[in-house]
Parts: sequence; structure tokens; C-alpha cells
Amino acid sequence: MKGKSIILTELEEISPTVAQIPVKPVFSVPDGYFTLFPERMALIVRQMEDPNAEISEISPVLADISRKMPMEAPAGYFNNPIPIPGTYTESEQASVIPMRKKGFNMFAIAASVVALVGIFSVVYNQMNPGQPAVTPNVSIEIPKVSEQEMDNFLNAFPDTDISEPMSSATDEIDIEVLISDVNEKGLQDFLSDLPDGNNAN
Amino acid sequence: MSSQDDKELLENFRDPSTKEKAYTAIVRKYQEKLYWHVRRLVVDHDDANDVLQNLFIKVWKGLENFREDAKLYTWLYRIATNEALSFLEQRKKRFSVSFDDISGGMEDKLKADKDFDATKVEWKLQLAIQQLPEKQKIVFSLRYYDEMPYEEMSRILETSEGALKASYHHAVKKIEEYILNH
Repeated sequence: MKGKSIILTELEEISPTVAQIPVKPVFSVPDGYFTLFPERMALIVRQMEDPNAEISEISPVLADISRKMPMEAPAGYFNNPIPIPGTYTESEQASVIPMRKKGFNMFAIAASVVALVGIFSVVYNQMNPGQPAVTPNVSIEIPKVSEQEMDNFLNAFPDTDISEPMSSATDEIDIEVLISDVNEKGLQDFLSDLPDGNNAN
Repeated sequence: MSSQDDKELLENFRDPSTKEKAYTAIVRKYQEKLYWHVRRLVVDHDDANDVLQNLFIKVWKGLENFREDAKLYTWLYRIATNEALSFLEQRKKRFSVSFDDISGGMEDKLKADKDFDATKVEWKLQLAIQQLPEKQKIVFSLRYYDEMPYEEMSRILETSEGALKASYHHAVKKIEEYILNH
């Protein structure tokens, strides 16, 4: 009490306001905390000293059972050296499957497609003898087309100048006009620069 | 809490046949004082429980080497203070927060307490204590609640009595200011 009075006096000197506040705990503690805590600590330290104490506390039945494993490893298992990767015996090695070249596969696929198309064409022609062949011969078939059918086909393309021949004579006229301004010497130089086989007549 | 009792407990602790019994008696004797000392620093019950548990594990491991030139309770308070400060330090590192944030966190914990009542001056005092720097908080707690003489406090905190008196004075003034302004 003497100590307390000294502390209170000291506090009143420093701050009368704080000295007036009653000194009482504001926090609460779970019921029975201080009753159980010493026992809990005793259990913790017991477990620290003896690893079997924990299991004995939880289940004495389990604590009495032997911890020896009933299973066994194959004899000498732990004495054999551990194999190093890449040093397997011949019987342990897996079979090697050769990788084919990509070009061979592509060739095989293309050949299969050609064979299928050919077979299909032959079978189709045999099954449809009255129908035109899948690959008709143009030189044989064109004469069979009537004039009327040809006119109808050509009229379907009005923008096309069908009167223009495949090889126009105007090309020759244009060339004559074009080279009319070339003098004799220039023409000779040009011809002499050409290879022998390409000399114009 | 006489020194004779402590001496007897220590002797029993050193005897393997009575070691655990003596240990349980020491826990029972000091648990409440140490619990409240820790609780005032860490606020939360679960945190205080963790700190107290670690504290008494250290007591079990180190009591055999305890030199009797100091009182047992002084030694226990020193461990309790260090454990509580280590706990707060670890939490500060884990959440990467500053001391101000820790104070804010403590205030939130206080307000979250099921018994918290902002109108009661005792709770205002708790809020005021949480605003103090850690060292002042410890000094105030030991002096105000545990009524500990400066001489004992000096041994626990390894600080001069003069410095402790000054620290206590500053702490009380800061608390007064907080209570008057809130």
C-alpha cells in the first residue's frame, strides 16, 4: 500500500486528471482461461521433452501400438546403387522409333489424291456411258456445237471484241511505222548487237 | 510473491522429479500479471495468449540457467516485455506498416472489443495509451498498472531510473492531453 500511495501521489503531481481515472481492467478474458493455462503449458513442455506424450494424451490406445511398419521393402533394395540417368542396360532401354522425312509423307498424300481422282474418273465414265467424259477432247467436241449455240455463248460476253484476231496484222504495220525514222546505221548497229540466231530477215 | 517462495520453486524446478510440478506452480503464480502486462501491449487476447505461451516455453528452456542474483519476477517481466515487442515488430514487418499504422491498428482493435464503450473514461485511457511510443507505453503500464518501483523497472528495461521517470512523466502528460481533447 505504501508503494501504491507513492505512485498515486506522483501521478497526482504530474496529472490530477489522469490520477482520477479508476485503475480497473477493461479487457475481458475467456472463462476459465487462467485455470486451464497452467495445464496447457505443462502439456506443451511434456511434448517438447517426449514426442510420444502428444499421442499418449490424445489416444492412449494408439500410443500403445507398435510403430514398426508391417510392410517390407524388397531384400537388398536399399543396398543397390541408384541408377544414373542415361546408363540403363540394353534390356531396360526403350525401342527407338525412326522419324520419317516430311517430304515422303507429302509425296504419299499427293499420290493418293491423284490415284483417287483417276479411279473416280474411270468408274464415273464406265457407269455413265451416255454422258460426256469427265475429261472431254476439245478438238472432237467443238464441231458438234451448232452455230446458234456458239452465237448465244459469245453474246453472253458483250464487252469482248470477238472480231479482233489472235494475231493482229496491225502489229506489222505499227512496226514499219515505228522503224521508219530509224536510220540505216542505227539499224545495222542494232542487228549486229543481236545474237546470230536472232537476226531479223 | 515472496522471494522465499521463488527460491523454493527454483530448487524444485532443478530437481528432475519435481521439475514439471514446480514449472506449473510458477506458471500459475505469474500468469495473470504477465498476461495483463502483455495484453496491454498487444491488446488482442489471442495475440496475448500466443505471446504468453512463447514466454513460458522460454521459461521452461532457460530457467535452469537462471542466475538468482535477480528476482524471478524481474526476469519473467523482461522476457514478457521482449516477447511482446518482438511480436509487435514481426507484425509490423509482416504487414509492412509504420509505427503510426500500428497505433491505428491497435485503436481499431480496442474499438472492436466486445466491451468497448467510448463514453467510459477507462476506455478513453486505453485509447490514449495506444498513442504513446512503445517505450513510454511499457513504462506507463509497469508503473501505473503494475505499481512497479523504478529500481525494478530499471533492471527489466535496462534503462536508468532518471530516464524512466522522465519517460513516465511524458507519457502521463500525453495521456492527459488526449483525454482532455477527446
